[in-house]
Amino acid sequence: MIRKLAWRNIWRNKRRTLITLTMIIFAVVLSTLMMSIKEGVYESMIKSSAGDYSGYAQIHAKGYWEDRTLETSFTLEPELEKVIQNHPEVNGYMPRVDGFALAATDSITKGSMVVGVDVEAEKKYSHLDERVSDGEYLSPEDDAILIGEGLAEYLKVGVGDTIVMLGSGYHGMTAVGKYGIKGILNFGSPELSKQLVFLPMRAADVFFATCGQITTIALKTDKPEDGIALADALGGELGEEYEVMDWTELNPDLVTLIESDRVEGYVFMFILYMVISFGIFGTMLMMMAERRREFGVLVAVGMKRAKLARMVWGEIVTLSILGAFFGIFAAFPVCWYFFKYPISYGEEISKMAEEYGMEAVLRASLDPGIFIQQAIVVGIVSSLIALYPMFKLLKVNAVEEMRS
Amino acid sequence: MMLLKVAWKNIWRNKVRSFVVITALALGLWAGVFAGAFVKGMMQSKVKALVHTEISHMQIHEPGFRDEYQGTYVIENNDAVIQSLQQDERVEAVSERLISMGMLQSARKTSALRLVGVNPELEKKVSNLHEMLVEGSYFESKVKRPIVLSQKTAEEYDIKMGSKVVFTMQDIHGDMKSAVYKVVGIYKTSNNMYDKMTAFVPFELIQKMYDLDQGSHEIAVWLGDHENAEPVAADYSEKFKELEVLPWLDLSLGLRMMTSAIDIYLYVIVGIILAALLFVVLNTMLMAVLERTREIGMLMAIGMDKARVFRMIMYETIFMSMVGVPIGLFISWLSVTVFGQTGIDLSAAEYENLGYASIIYPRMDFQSYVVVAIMVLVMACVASLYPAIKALRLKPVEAIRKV
Amino acid sequence: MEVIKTKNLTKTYDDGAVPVHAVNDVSLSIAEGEFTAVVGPSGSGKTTLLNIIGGLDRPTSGSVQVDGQELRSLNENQLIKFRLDNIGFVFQAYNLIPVLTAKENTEFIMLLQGVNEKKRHERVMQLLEEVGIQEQANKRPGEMSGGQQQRVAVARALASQPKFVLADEPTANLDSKSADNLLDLMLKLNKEENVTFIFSTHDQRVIDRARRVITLVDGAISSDITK
Repeated sequence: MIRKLAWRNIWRNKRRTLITLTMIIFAVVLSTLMMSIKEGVYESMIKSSAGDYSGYAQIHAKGYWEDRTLETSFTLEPELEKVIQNHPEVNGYMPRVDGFALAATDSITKGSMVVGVDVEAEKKYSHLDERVSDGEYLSPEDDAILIGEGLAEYLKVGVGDTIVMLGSGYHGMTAVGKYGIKGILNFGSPELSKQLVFLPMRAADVFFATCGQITTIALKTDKPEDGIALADALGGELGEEYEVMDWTELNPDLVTLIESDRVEGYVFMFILYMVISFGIFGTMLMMMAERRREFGVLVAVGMKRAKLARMVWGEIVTLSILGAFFGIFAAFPVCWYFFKYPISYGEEISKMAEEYGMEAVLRASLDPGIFIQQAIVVGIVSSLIALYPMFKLLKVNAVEEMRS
Repeated sequence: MMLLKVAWKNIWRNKVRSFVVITALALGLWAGVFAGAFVKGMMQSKVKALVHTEISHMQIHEPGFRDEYQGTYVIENNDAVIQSLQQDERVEAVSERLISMGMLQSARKTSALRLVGVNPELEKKVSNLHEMLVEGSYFESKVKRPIVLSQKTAEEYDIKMGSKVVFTMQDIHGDMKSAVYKVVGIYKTSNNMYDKMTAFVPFELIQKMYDLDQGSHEIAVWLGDHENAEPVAADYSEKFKELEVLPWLDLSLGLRMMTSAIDIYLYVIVGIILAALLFVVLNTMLMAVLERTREIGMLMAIGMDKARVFRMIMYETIFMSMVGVPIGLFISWLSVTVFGQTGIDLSAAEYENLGYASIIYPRMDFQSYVVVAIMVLVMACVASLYPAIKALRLKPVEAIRKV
Repeated sequence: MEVIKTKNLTKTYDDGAVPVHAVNDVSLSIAEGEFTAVVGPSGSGKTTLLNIIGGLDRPTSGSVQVDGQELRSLNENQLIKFRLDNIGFVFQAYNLIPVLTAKENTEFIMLLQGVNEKKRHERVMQLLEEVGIQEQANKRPGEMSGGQQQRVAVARALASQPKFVLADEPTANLDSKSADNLLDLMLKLNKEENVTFIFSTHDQRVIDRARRVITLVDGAISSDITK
């Protein structure tokens, strides 16, 4: 009975209901928008840092990450490949040999990261070939290298020139080699661009004397979360000799950056929620004030106060749920707009950000989890706020109310 | 005018409505100010750490040096420059450095590192790094070839106090040189990225490795007043046209970017908060107006024209703002001051890895209070427009019929 | 002197399938100095008729002139001004501005008209005396009895020296003593100042005092009796 009354009451005064609903819907939209933009920025950062190049998960020989030497390398056995292939979320995998060497010309030397790659795999999965800005991409049989633009500039070399590489190889053997530059790569991040040298696997093998061993398998998945789940799963499936790490372990600095930003974000969310909560509270106060006479009549006529309180609370909770629900649908186009047309950072920053290969914009995220989460929070918050009017109703004095 | 009087009195008559609007305005104002203060506090702490430890107030280089840290970009007339600086009364201290990007090698690991050759006594005056030692000393030991590096570096290279490391670099002739150093001090700043890449040795040692007779790569300056940084930099730019003289604002690429990026981010946040505020006020005013149909209908019946009805409602809003805004300013000021003392502890996140301290002290300047207050006021008036217009559409007949 | 003249006045509502004639082809005229009651059962259309005459509603067809001015040719804003200057209203309830005192409420009309302060003040005191409410001059409606409030309403209605005063069930919320007092006051004003009063009412006390009684049934005049 109460429920029926409550439900009908809601539709009786359409205008008031609409105003309350809109308040809640708006609350959902705003908090979702704020969250969405934050998460969108993080997604963007993760993608550009970890995404294409290093992959959302990597397999190494156990202890490699601590070590980073060629000693901790492993062979790419077919069984291993099969295990990887068993996971449908893996879009591709790229075996690599990561090493360090000095790249030198007659007069200039620079430390660089030397990477032996599976030329075909990289082309297919990390689209390395698309980064070639000058010259050509490698073929598996080449004895030539690709270097980053930054490095090329520093060493003052170009396509066709030769440089010498000097480093330490497997078992401490000196690695020395002379290589022609077949192509120059564009890497968003200046850091990477100034350090990376790519060799076909076969040539890297010779250079580092690794005898077919590799240091890394980079795994590509659609989403960062997939990478984390994958790393977990593979960690279990592969033996003790391997270690599987996800992008959070591979990029701890990035994770810290995001986490600390998130915490800051909570402060802002808190502030926003204060304003929104008050908005909802205020709307309820107004509604209560408006209906005082009505409540007085009900109590005078014989409705127990507790029942009245429950009925009104029921109304508000229903409206909260409805509002939260519709809020999701209202929030979507707003976030979608900022997804398609993100907020730009301004000229200066844009240039800098682009140098880092990051998007120079604030882009919204369309992760449905955000929408649902915010809707639930708002729904709960307003239901809690509704407790106040409920308590007030328990003290209603019929005569006074009716006189107003 | 009577209209003002009526508007003012109407506020106090409809207590609930007025309470809601006034509080909403005060709260909205607080929200805007506090969010801004928080951001400013963030900025301040980041800047402080950066300037005190890493970059000082001003730096002078040979143009092009900062691109690649190539050893050949030496400031030849460094003595002249330093002398000139020391005579300047705005300058408190000067220190010069030789820097090399090379390779550091331990038993465990080999990787790139930036080695900075310093004069410890001079260096102490332009940077507080020496206060950040967790082990050992800042070049006070008698070791012949000492090196001070960071805790992060020590961890990654698996070395400790007394360990020996090899540094390899290219001298000014293009030849490769290596030398051994012994760890005498381990430091830790709040910026992991700086720590990872930076280690210190005595100036003369790098000088020898480079095979340089004189000159330095970097002259760091500490001023009496940091606000002087730009004018002083401008002066010395003029004086030594061939050199690059930069104030701290321009020294860290990230700094400018961060400042502007944060500004924009702040606008977005404040924008959202203001939108919330606008909606709350609009909603409430609308409810209030619709509640007063009888009263407004009566007024129009007896002859109050629409312009006056509209103005009356707008006056009500303005009066409520005049109450809400000062309250808002007060609580804003209060919260900023209180938290400005105690700080907001964000150590839940591992802030230090990034170079920020984990406690933020909100800061706000007078100007911003005024700006936010004005925005809130404008927002309130804009929010009332729709309800006021709705009031005009009321027909006296309908209003009265409700009797 | 004709104060009000209607000709074939009709107001139709097209709510459902069948159109409802709230006012059905009413032609009447009311002269200066009349004390007239319009009566009829609920739904007879008397409220609608008086709303139209008072410029609060528009007819569907027909003409309505007040003091020679055809109301239909005035737009919304002009109508408001016309009411301000020419018509006084006493409603059943909610007559007064709750936040203003009796004096201020009465003054309000003149303020809207732009009358200067001196003149306003004089007239207000005069009006308050006439309705016998000068004691309550500085009290707010909430501090007065129902009867006192209605008197202030009358004072206010008279403030602009209107062509006529429309009273819609003015005694409905009053006890019999206050009702009598109020009506006697209005009658006195009518006789001594020649103020034209038109009532919409069920109240026998009003009908007893009225010199002309117009009865409406189903939107049309069924009888028009001058005593």
